[in-house]
Amino acid sequence: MSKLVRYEGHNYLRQRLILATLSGKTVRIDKIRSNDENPGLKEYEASFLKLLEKVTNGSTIEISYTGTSIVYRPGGIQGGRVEHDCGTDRSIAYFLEPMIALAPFSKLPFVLTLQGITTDHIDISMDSVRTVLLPQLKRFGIEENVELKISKRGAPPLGGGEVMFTCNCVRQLKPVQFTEEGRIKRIRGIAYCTRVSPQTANRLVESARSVLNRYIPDIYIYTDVYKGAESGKSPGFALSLVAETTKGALLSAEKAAEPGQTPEDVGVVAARLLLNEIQKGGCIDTASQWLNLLLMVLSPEDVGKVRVGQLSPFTIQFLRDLKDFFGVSFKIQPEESSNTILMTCVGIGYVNHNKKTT
Amino acid sequence: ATSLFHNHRRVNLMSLIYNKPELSPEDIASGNYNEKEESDESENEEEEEFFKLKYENNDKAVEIIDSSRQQPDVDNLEVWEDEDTLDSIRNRFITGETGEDGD
Repeated sequence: MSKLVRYEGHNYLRQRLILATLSGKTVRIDKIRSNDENPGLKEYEASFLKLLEKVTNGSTIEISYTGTSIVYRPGGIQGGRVEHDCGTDRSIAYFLEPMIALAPFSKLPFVLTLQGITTDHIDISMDSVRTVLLPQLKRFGIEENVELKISKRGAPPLGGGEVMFTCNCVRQLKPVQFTEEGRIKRIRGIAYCTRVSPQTANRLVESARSVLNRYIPDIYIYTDVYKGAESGKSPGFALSLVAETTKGALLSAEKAAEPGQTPEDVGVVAARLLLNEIQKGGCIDTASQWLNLLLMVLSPEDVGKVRVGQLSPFTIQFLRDLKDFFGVSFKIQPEESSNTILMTCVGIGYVNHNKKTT
Repeated sequence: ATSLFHNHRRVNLMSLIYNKPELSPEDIASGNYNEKEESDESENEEEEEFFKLKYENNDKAVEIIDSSRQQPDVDNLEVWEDEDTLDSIRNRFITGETGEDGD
């Protein structure tokens, strides 16, 4: 395979840059909104490139005069103590998600401080990252010092939140075989609110419980009311829910308030989204499919297997991009009886040479 | 070599994803991949409604939100008002009936 991977269009920019970094291949992306009224990279995309530059060493990014094409030559993943202001166009998750993929393979342990919006209704919230995405790293052997601390909340539009992500690097991942989904034994959740009546959080909890109580008694939803400087610059509230199965699978759903929605609306929608996710089945929920598949590809040269519900469009494109960069395609077996999909691949045996064996 | 593993019985998701780059991820995810062969305009419109396709427009300038979270389709959530639908996933919980332990 060639050392240069080319794409067109602005879609799926993040994953391509991340895969380029991990694989060490140069990526060239042309026609970024070339026919748009505002051609070229958006501010948040440029900001993401800046963050990528901060956490790597020796990367070069060339952006054309109009901003409609970029060439990214990745350097090494450096890590260390990095601070970044994510702005308010996209939430922190947009920046943090790819960093989670890089962190285990860096030279220095990641200590990443990000400022911006902690929960919006587009990206996954910081709560879900903490309660769902990060625990899943454990299965791959990434468990040392993996933590996300939400020191300040920030709701859109003004943000003002702050999180700190830490993760130690590993030398090699563990192969994962995770096909037994088990049954749901408990549901946990976090209802947060900032700069609104503290009662809002309770209303969120009540309405979500009204939907979920019929299934299982073990439901506990934390209420998280932030006050003063920790509550960011804008009012907001959201509910994130996690269903945990007997086999340790985590299925999540969440809903953040959009203008005009009552806490009751948000609570019920969040609960129903969780039911949707449960209905899809599988051991991996929609939002964390990409991370699991990526880590499977980077695993030692052994067979990795996971069961997923439905593949989201994001994941499908991710599978294609994975193949472009690593030459790995998954064996995708739909199973009619349970309506789930079994994903199998052989890892490439990625080794982080910065980390000495102990 | 991996193509040898193909499951021939069903719609082959693997070849849709890897061998048909012209299909958009959205079409594959929503099961809308036969449309190009049929190329029947009116039927496309019907399918669009049926599958709640968000990005029917194949224009290059379509702005797809780069997010791992699927944008919730709030209209589809009304199915959860129905008792039968609510009961259909009861077996996924430990409180549900055992017996169907095919998971």
